[in-house]
Amino acid sequence: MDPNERRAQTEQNVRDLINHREPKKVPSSLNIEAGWGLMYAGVKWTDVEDDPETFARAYTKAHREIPIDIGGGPTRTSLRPAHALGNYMFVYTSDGGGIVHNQAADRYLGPEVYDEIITDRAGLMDRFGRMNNPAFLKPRAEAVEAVRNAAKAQLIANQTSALISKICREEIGMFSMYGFDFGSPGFYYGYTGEFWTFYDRLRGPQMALSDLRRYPDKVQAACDFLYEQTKARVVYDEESMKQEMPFGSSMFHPESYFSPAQFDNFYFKNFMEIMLPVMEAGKKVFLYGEGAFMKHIDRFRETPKSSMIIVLDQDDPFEAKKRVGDWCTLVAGPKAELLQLGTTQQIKDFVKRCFDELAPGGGYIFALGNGLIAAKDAPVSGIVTAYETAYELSTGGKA
Amino acid sequence: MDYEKLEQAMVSLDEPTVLEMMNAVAGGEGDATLALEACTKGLEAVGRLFEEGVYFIPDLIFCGEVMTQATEIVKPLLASGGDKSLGKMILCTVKDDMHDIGKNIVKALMEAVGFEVLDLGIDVAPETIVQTAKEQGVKIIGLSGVLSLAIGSMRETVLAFEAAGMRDQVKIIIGGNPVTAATCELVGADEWALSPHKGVQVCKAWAAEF
Ligand code: B12
Repeated sequence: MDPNERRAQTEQNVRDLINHREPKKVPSSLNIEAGWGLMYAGVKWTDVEDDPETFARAYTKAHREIPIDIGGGPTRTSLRPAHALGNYMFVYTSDGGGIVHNQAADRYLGPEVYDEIITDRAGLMDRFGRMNNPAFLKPRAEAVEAVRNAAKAQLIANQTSALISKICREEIGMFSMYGFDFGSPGFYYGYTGEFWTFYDRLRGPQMALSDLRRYPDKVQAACDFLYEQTKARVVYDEESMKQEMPFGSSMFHPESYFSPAQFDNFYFKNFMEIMLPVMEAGKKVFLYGEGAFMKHIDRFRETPKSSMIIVLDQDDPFEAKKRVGDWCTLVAGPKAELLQLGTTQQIKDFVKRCFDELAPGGGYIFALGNGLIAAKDAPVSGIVTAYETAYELSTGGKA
Repeated sequence: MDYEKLEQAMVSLDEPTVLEMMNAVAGGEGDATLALEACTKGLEAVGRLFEEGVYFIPDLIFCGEVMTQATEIVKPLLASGGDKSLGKMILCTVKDDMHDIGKNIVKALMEAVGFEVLDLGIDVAPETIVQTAKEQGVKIIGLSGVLSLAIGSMRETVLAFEAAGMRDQVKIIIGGNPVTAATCELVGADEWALSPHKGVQVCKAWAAEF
């Protein structure tokens, strides 16, 4: 099929299903990060990192061969820019085939950050940035040289990413639900919780979560302060608010761990304040839900019907369907664990169950919830079985 | 020393009170063993409240931190370094996985109830686990992992025990987010738990059997 035609069909199917109409075909979505994509192509990351064309061709081999209609967000294609600045938060795996987060290199700050972010946000972020990118602490000439090298490497990485988008869009005809990539223009709205800044960056996950108990008032004050700044920056543009695509977006990171009160306080009430006007104007909002958050999922009934697309990660999709399936679109399917250890028949049965129970009435996109990051996350055979079964069930034909 | 008050302070996660009372014990105002027992009772109650949906992950992490501090304060007073009556157990995050927040919570609880936890750390190869179990005669193995690939590593660990001819000498419990009854079966472990409280109950029962 012509790639443009294929993409247009997927887009129409997505429009139908998010409005809870049954689409002609239930689309399949898969988020493949570079480590898995290159493994599929039998190529070693460090061998192709400096060559955008070879990298992009190898990485998209899986996208060409496995029946995937919708692709994930941008994938990281190079560590060289960060390494040039002395930032080793991510490193290559020992075989050079992928990358991993390197905890030993994580640098976090003390609880003073909650006060400091209010009194001197810019200074704090600068201090944190230098701590994690030690090249900035070197003598001027060396620092300038490091930045120059990082910029050069970034340029190559950008070329690779642009090429990947182009191949996915123009050659394969894939559709993207994310705001930015595959060259989709247009205005974009998003909200992520303020607590992220502390959880993911300044304090680190473990300390930030226990700070919720140890310094509740300080955490609250700091998050309130950040939220006021966010709110002041939001500008609603009536025209782009009405356009369905690109979707608005939101993402979970610490949110699945919150108590209901914390969820409301640190996420949901702000999310609604910023995104409700957008949804009421007709725009859809895409939520990448990380973790297990069934205890919070009913809250999304407070959004206008058929305005949210929620990616499930660790929750049971059948339970989620019962709770919010008539109200929100769910992006879900088998877990990587089943693809690793299940038999072919078990995988097929599970996919069939997804189509039988989740697809009727619209509001469903078939996907491997948590995506593919490392080579070992799921074997090629398991992925192929799952996606070919989904293709057969959604079209009545062989892939 | 009002041990009931100490227990209550632990249940309500009142860190300043717990630490103040433990310091008093260290200063000679009470019995270290009884004080730790009170903290442990409090901690087990916190585990139950987590299962009941009253407490959440941030509370468990915090509770583990308070317990660790409380133990440190009175450690010098305990001849054997604390109650280790339940014997040794191995706990670690499996190969290729480096997440340890969950494992550390479980460790704090297991130590509190009387296990001597051999914490092998993160990204631990099956051979290392089998070797340690063999050398130290450990029969209870707790494996943690949150990545999808951890399930494969857990399976490899179970197979490594089989290959060493030790599978029926050890009991293996797995935990971490991707773990379910179904994964437990695929992995071939004896038990699974997402709730550290359940994990503690299972391991205690095993320790009583051995
Ligand atoms: C914090 C975190 C990190 C931190 C880890 C810090 C640390 N010291 O552990 C950092 C930033 C370093 C990190 C790194 C990475 N992470 Co991470 N991380 C998380 C996050 C946000 C939370 C995990 C966590 O700590 N949970 C809290 C604890 C308390 O939960 P838990 O482990 O399940 O433990 C509980 C129970 O399961 C039980 N339990 C646990 N173990 C055991 C054992 C026994 C015996 C028993 C009885 C019970 C038990 O007790 C606990 C209390 O209830 C999750 C997202 C999520 N929401 O799950 C992603 C997540 C796990 N990470 C993910 C990924 C991909 C990575 C990276 C690979 C990223 C990268 N590209 O490099 C690297 C991993 C590197 C590696 N090889 O491990 C993915 C995994 C996807 C997948 N399915 O494989 C997740 C799910 C995020 C996502 N959706 O993409 N991560």
